[in-house]
Amino acid sequence: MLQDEGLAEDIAQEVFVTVFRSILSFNQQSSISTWIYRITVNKCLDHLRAKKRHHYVLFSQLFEKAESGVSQKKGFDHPGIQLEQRENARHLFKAIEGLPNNQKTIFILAHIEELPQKEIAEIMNMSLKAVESVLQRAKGNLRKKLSAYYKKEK
Amino acid sequence: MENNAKRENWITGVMNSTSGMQRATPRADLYGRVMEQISLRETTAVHLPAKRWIAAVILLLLLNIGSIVYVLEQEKKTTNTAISGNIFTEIQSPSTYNY
Repeated sequence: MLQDEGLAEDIAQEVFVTVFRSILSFNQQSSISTWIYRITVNKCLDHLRAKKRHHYVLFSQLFEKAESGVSQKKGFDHPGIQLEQRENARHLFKAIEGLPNNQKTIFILAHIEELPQKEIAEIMNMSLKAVESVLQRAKGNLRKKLSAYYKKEK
Repeated sequence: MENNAKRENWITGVMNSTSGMQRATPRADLYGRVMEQISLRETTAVHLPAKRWIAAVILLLLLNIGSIVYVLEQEKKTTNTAISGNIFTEIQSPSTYNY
């Protein structure tokens, strides 16, 4: 979600510290993994919002995004992707980066984490229908972005 | 037409590129780093949130103002008693005038 290995490790550390400090407030209405996912998603979204607020995004990236709908910076290599899929996955992660935060989160939870939609709904505090609809929109937007990228590159 | 089909194939390939991927695992030292951060946070001073700071300052101000008002009123009372006491002494005290 953050597309930065070092940052992801820092957030993972923060998540477990938060879990340790607020375990007594866990009310067991959901499973512990859902609760931890919720904390993680919130921390990632907080970080992304702060990043946006503080204008961490370079101007060059902004221009490139506006031009093609997909960032042209060196893509993110997820360590778990199979070698032969690396190139394609890099394009996918570039496109994911350009999605609005809720679409990005739901797409990652569904397709990268492979969580069932019911659990995603609990994590995001949304109805199942809303999750389905956001996921469809995310897929549509990704296809549009990738199509624009294909036209530009090929 | 053929180009469209090629494009759709490519997009589908990209969209499915994460299938069969493995989960990212944290470094082995994550547990140690978490424990270190927890113990570090527990030994550092507890910072009060802004609302509590404001409430504490208001309470201090109210206590100070209250005590100042109380002291002023006490002084006022003492002065009034002293004046009336002097008048009373003057009225009640036997005249020392030599008739």
